[in-house]
Amino acid sequence: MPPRRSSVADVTFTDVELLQAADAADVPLAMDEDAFRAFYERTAPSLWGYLARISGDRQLADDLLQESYYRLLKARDAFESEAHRRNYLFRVATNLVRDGRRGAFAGHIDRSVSVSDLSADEPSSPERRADVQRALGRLKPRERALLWLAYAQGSSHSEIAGVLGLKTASIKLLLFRARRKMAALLEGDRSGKGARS
Amino acid sequence: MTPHFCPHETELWDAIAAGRWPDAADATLRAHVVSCGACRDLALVAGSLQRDACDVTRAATPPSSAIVWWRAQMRARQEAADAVDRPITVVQGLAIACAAGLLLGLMGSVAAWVRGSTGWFSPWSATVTNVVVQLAAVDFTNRWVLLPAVLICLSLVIAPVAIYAIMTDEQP
Repeated sequence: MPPRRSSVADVTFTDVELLQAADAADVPLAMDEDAFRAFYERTAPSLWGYLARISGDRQLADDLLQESYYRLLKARDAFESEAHRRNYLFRVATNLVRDGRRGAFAGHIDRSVSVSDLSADEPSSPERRADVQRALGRLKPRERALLWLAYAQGSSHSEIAGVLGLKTASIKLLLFRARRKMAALLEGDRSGKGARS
Repeated sequence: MTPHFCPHETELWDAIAAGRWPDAADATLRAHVVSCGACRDLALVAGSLQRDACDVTRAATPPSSAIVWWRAQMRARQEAADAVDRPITVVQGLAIACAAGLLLGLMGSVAAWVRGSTGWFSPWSATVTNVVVQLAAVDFTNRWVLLPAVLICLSLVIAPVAIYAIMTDEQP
């Protein structure tokens, strides 16, 4: 019996498979193709950025992104709105990163956030970006996720609580602590550079 | 660390999120941030992450939606096929478990029966011992004896493997 494929990213196509796929009737998924592609175009860049910053690995971000969308497509939940669906997607992605630290993706995750991994194609201000990446890399994964969701994504406290599986009432305090920690790291980087120059 | 929540944080965050911070922000808010530690942290962290998010999103290279859709289709199809196979495997497992249970039960019954009829068993036991003694006396260095003996042993080993292979091939 041939080995089973374990993730969406592992699926490769032969010409025969592509022809079969074109001919066969669609497998029922939670969205139709047009709706999925429109939703994907709206959400994939921000989800990819989130995954890249939380995991610190571009390749892993690609894999987890595809897995997250697959799980969304297979979900039996009824989504009340686009925001609800988006939050569900980010929650799945967060859980995949968390699970990955313990299992399948452990080899990829937590090599600490690498500047070279993420800055290769990015535009100007490399020093500023490096500072942010370094500071994020020194935070705990949950702190990284909290700060990113709050200030990079602009999510509300209740949305953050939903994505991270925390109580809404605790977000304010957790955010305060994470923010203090990151500010100290950023200020430390800056004063260190000031002292050297 | 004692948290200090400043009432100006919301106003400051609104200015940062709207891109008004720091140049287009209210002068009083700017003056406040200079003197408030919590707001200074917020301005530093939120401003840095906002800029970083813009850079990362601009440079994001997620796979195309078409590829992700097709891969999801392929995987869903594969999982559907696996789900069809699963009940067959379960039934096979149950059948093997039942057969093993039946065999063990039979062995238990036979053992009890044998223990209960030792008088009947004694002559048979003597016969078996006699056969074993005769077998031990056979000269296995003689090739006309050795060859059939080896063939019999080999067939005893190969037959179950062959039956298993045939049964496996028959499965789709």
